[in-house]
Amino acid sequence: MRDLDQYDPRARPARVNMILRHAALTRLTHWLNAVCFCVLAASGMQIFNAWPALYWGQTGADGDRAVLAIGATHDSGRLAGQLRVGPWTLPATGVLGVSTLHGEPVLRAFPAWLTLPAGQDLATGRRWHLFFAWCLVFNGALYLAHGVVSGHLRRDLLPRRRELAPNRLWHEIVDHVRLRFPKGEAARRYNPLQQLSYLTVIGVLLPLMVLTGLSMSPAMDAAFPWLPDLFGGRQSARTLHFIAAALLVLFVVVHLAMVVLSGARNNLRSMLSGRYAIQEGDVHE
Amino acid sequence: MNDVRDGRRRFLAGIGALALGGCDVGGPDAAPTDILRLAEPLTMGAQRLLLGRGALAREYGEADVSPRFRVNGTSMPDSDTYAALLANRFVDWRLQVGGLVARPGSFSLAQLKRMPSRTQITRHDCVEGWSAIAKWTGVPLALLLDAAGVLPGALRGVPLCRRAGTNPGRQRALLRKH
Repeated sequence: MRDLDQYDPRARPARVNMILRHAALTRLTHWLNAVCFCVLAASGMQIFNAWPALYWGQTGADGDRAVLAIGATHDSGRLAGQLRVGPWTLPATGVLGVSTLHGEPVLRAFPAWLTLPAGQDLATGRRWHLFFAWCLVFNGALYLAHGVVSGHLRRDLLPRRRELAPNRLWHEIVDHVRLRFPKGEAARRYNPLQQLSYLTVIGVLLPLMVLTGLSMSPAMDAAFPWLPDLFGGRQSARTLHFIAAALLVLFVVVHLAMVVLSGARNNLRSMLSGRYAIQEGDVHE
Repeated sequence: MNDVRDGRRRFLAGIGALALGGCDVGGPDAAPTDILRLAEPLTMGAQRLLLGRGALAREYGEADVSPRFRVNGTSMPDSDTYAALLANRFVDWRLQVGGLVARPGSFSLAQLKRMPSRTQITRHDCVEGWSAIAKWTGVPLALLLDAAGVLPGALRGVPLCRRAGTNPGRQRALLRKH
């Protein structure tokens, strides 16, 4: 809708100022991270499918109460997919629990089109997962090192104290919900909602993924018995790994929506070539 | 899985069936796998670096033992070989140790039972994702390896078990260089 302004004959032609929004290393690590995320999510669902139930504590198997499980029941000869979360049971046929393969209903927690590899193959799924977990760690280390040395983390991602005042944050949230995004000078910087969500991903969710992931390794548990205890046990760590993954998926969905709604072309260009267009004298407040 | 009685049991049976696929090791797409395996020395190296030589699985108390321990696959193979072993109370069963050892050979159940045994309560983490704690008793592997005489250059122990029907009634432990 904002783009219509450009075609309003009465409007003064706005001066467009091109700035360097993202450093080359930020752009490179962003796209490598995007690849890692997709492969880790798809192979993670493959691994989850091998035992599609989550528990709390050190142990969890057949007889134990699952906090989340994807399964199926036989209803008068027909397979019906189910998602169980705590005490609730939700029908999920068509997406979870039961998939149609070659015209036949088959038992499958996450459907084949979401998992890597598509067919049920835990061993290959683990190879994909661990290879790209290493890529994620190296890429993340490179990003953090650059972020500290260049000042990117402190300068661009650390919110200023006055921006964190509740009424300021509420104002930002209302603006975002109304799809009114910062323009002009205000668009030079990340807004506090961006800063907080990026910091949550970088500082909380991704470290949580790495640590809960390591907690599932029997070798790591032998070396550091306190590691799974940090999360309430080995099975709790597996459950938190799943929850953190779900939150990362949620982040990516919102992130992509914001990229599209706040100017897809400009945003995409800034993450590819680094150049970001700012309309001067067009201050939104 | 046919004698399911209520919704919960049926649901869990579904999980079991889903999980069976996880037992199959390896897949048809080997080409990407060759590249993906490049990360394995990294994983192993990192583990060796952090683990130290003495690190063992944590031991638990009697109260932590899981009420039920899952039997993966089957607890009663329906092969003639197994039926014969069972009928003879496993007198003919052998554990073979081979590969890079000075004295390749086999152990009978009676021989294994005469060796010093160790009991420990540890958590089993299945590659599928579930965990259960149980009490285990038996000969420490180190004693078997000492008896067989591990040759210099042997780096890995590979326990091999054969599926019912293809197994001539023996289990083998093989020591390999890589």
